[in-house]
Amino acid sequence: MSVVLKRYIPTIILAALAFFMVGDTLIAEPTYNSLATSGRSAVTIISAFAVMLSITLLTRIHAKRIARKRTVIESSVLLTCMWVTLLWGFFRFALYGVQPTQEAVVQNIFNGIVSPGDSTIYSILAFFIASAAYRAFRTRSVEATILLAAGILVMLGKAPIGEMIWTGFTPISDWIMNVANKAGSRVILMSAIIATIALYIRIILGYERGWMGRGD
Amino acid sequence: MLVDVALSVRTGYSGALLMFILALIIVGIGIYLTINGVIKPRIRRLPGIDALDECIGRATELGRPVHFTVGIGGISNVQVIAGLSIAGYVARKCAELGVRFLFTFSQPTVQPAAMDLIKEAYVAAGKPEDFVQENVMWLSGRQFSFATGVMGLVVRERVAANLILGYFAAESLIFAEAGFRAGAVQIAGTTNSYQIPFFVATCDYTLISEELITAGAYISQEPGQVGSVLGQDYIRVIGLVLMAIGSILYAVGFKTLTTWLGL
Repeated sequence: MSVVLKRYIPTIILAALAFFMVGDTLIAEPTYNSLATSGRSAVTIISAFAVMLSITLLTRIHAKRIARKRTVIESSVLLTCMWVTLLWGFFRFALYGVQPTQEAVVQNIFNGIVSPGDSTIYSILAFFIASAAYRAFRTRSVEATILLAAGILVMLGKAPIGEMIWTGFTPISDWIMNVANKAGSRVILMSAIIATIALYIRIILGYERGWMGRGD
Repeated sequence: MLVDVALSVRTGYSGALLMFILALIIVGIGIYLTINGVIKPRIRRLPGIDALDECIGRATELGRPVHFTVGIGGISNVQVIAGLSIAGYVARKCAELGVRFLFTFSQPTVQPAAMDLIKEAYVAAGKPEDFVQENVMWLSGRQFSFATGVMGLVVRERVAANLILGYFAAESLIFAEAGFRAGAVQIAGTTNSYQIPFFVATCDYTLISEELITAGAYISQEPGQVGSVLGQDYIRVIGLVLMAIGSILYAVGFKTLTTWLGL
């Protein structure tokens, strides 16, 4: 029974739903398409429940940290306090109909903490790119040398100083990006699409079960 | 008539319908031939997957954890599904060897599947008591908040292996650099062609595009799964032939094939 419950029933439900949704993409029939739209709404509702699950897990992790006092707990305390703003927004919306995004507290937290934080982390990428580029451009092999040469040509083609040195850099850079680079990108894209088709068929037919446990 | 049904193929989707049916038939043939032993296909070596055991072994020797992330995709993302297939294998190996397995994700929809998958891996390894729910971590739904969380975790825990297999965007390099700074062996994989160069530059092994999606079949070696990869190769060959014929016909002004396929 356990194997039936864990393996066959999920696979059958998944296969039926997969064919149903594929059918919606390909076939036009008002009642059918309307049912599929309702199905997509159900996905949104289920996702909302998943958010609650994740919040519960995160809270449990940090509550345990605070209770044990083993590690630095300031961030855990801060995060737990942040849930208060969530509850505050929820009750204000429920009781007074105030949209959470219009709350001054929420706007201040977003504009003063979240948004600058995101920008800071994004800007760190510039340093990481420099570090990664240094490692990639070390000419230890023929491939790395070709990469280095192509990289320099593209940089000179895109930077104004390149055109000042020699106008030929721009067309060379464009050729590398539009022909050599695009050809490689398309190979990656097409192979991914074909592999995706095969993976979905594996899932529909119940051969690919690794993502939901072996079930045996 | 009880139900009034007006069934028709959506405009512009006749080619897609044909492709879907053909793909089902071709992959089905591949699976059938493999399961019945008519053909015994072998998936070429994937060094990134072969190195998984080496990574876990290193983590065992160093007594440090293994970190696995599927990135910022939800459960409906094919790369996340492929990542989870690999995560199950890694979790089981970690459980067998007594290595801490840390799993991070960004979209809450991943949590139920990941939690169940990892728990089952520990049960399969005969060590259900070693499963720690708190090691499956949802850090944030926001891209860079999640990246910050992962970066902090990797550096703080000084992970021995950093496995970055799933759906990634601009935060990919943050994960890989954090692992590099922690001195971890890194295996990365994605189908996003913009992020692959970052992984190639910073990680020890990279699964490029279909290698990630096929990894589940490579690990399991089940005839059904390997057969589908055979079917995938048949589709590729047919696609290449059609592309060559289509290009020549289009160049000489004969556009029936492209119109017929809905392109």
